[in-house]
Amino acid sequence: MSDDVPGAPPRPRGISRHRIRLATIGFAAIFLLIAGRLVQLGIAPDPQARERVDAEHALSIRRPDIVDRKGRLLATDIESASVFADPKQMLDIDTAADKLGKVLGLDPVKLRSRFAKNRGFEWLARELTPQQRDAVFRLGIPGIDFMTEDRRIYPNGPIVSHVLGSVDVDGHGIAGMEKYIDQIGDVAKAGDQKVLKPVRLSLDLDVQNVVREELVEGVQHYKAIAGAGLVMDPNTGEVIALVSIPDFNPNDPAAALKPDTIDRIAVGLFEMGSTFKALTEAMALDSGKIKMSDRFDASKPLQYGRFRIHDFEPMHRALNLAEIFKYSSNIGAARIAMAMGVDAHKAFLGKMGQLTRLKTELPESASPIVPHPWGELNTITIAFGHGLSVTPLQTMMAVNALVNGGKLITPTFLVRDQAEADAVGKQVIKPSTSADMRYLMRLNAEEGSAKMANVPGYAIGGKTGTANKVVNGRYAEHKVLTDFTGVFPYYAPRYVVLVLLDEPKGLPETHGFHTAAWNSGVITGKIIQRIAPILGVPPDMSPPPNVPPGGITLAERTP
Amino acid sequence: MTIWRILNVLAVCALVAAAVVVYRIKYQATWQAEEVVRLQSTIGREKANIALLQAVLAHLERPDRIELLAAKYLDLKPFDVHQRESIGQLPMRPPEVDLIGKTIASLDLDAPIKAVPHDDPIARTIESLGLAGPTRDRSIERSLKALGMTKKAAQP
Repeated sequence: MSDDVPGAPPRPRGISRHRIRLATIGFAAIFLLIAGRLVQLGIAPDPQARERVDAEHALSIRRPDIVDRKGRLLATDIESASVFADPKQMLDIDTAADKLGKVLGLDPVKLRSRFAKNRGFEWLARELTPQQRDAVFRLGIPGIDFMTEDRRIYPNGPIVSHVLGSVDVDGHGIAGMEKYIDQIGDVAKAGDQKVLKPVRLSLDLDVQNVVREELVEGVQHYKAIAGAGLVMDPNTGEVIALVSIPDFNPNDPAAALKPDTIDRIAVGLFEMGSTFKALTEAMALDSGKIKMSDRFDASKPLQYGRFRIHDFEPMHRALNLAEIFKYSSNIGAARIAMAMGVDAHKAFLGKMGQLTRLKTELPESASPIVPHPWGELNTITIAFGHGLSVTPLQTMMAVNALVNGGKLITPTFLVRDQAEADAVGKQVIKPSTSADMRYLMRLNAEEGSAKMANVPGYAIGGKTGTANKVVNGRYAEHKVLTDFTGVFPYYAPRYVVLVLLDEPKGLPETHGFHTAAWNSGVITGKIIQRIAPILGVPPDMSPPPNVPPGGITLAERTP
Repeated sequence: MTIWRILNVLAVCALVAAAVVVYRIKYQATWQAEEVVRLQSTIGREKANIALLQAVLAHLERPDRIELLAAKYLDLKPFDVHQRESIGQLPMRPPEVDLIGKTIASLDLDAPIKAVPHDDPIARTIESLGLAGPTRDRSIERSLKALGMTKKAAQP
């Protein structure tokens, strides 16, 4: 309003101008208030919307595929529908509850009470089959909606179980490598465009299948209560196959929680028996204080306090290290350990990783049961594998070091090449000691207790182990745990195989024996025969003769 | 004044044309955006389908199933170590030989035929059979008997 326009109304006086200004300010304030409220409403989360967003987020965790070392699918996500209801939009809650209850197999009474709570969001069923989804769809009830979510499936069923682990219904890993994937944060939320690369395990599906088949059959045949098998590459520490029977189907996560299905390789604690004699002899040879030709008296049982140590197959004479290994002499092993002393024994086992918890990618692990205090009697019994409970995976790590040239390499379930293995490996014994151990293991397969595992064309080396189980605090005479460690080819080991049976029984064909050679050893032989071609180990019909390092014949050849 | 009016009319026409063009562009942009969304959802669906099919494939070719099928339908036996040879152990390829040529050469067909004087091969054969010759005995009958071809045997 300008003052100099002719014919305009007279200028309002000062008081009116003030009123107009007041009204303007008043209106402005009101509009600002409304705008502010709008902004507030826009920002403040609506409780119902919040609930729905949360549910959607919880559902939509994307997980990477898991493949074996050759790229075959072990675990993948597929889409599946879940159904939820918004009771506020329902016209007739009772009819809807009846119809849905029938189609989904839910209790209509419970459904009705849930709908009556008048919440805006109610899960009805997760992971529907396509048929169920169509059936719900055809009901045509308002207020029912679907949400597509990813569902984890394992196409190979129980072939690979313990290593993979399982996921819960919301897609979180709860065991095995699935949990490991969560721990390293290799998962993505729904909206996230993150590309998830498949996780490549070191397992070989074919080898895994063979080991599982042979073990299932072996456990049944020898009437054992459980069994386990492990195939590893001693040069890289990669686990090629891990089987523990009884196992479970990872598609059914509840089955994994049964106590009977624990992973006997990575979590089970066992006294490994004579397999530990290999560690005892390696300790002696590596110290340089004891030579392969040194003899130890095994002519009569070893008396220590009120304990008497016997041999399973007494020789009644002094034995050198090769003979102690071949005849698996408890007395001899005990005397070697006594000669080395308690501290040296403890230090050596510690260096070989037998006294501390072994950590791999698998979240499941177990601390070894180490005697405390550790006296001379403990050293005597541990020398032949009693009185120290370790996980088989742990012992295999040490056995790998014994045959691979002396490097202790932490086992892995992911692919690892030689350079990476060399970087993580730690030289724990001399390469010459490792050569001695390979000689001993081959000797044992040629004329000792590992004969039953021999396979034509594959020069294996091996060590048996039979441990009496502790029942009510005493060693039970007829309940044993047997294990067999096979390595092939012995002169340049490419794979090691461990087979473990819990309480195998003697059979007529084994002449009633339940010792390792007759069951675990036989199964190991069968496994090696089948997996060697799969792993591409060429048969060698004329392997180099097994000569003791140094060239002197130490063990008397038995005809 | 007329110029201004014409200009105004032109401006109005230009305005209308611009409005039409802008509308079309906007409409097309919306359409394209919808198309993008549609294609993206198709891609998502296809990806989900691929994942599903791969899972089904992995399930169908799991080793225990293949083993079962092989045992049922194939005539294969487990691999034996003796069935494998390395290339180095294979024998060398034998030198190429013309077998037929060698046989012909060994027959010595090119050599001139040497006639043996006073030798009649046909007469010699007849003689050796005893059909003719200086000693006319019962040799024919004897040989026929030996062969089981005597008249008695022929007429049972």
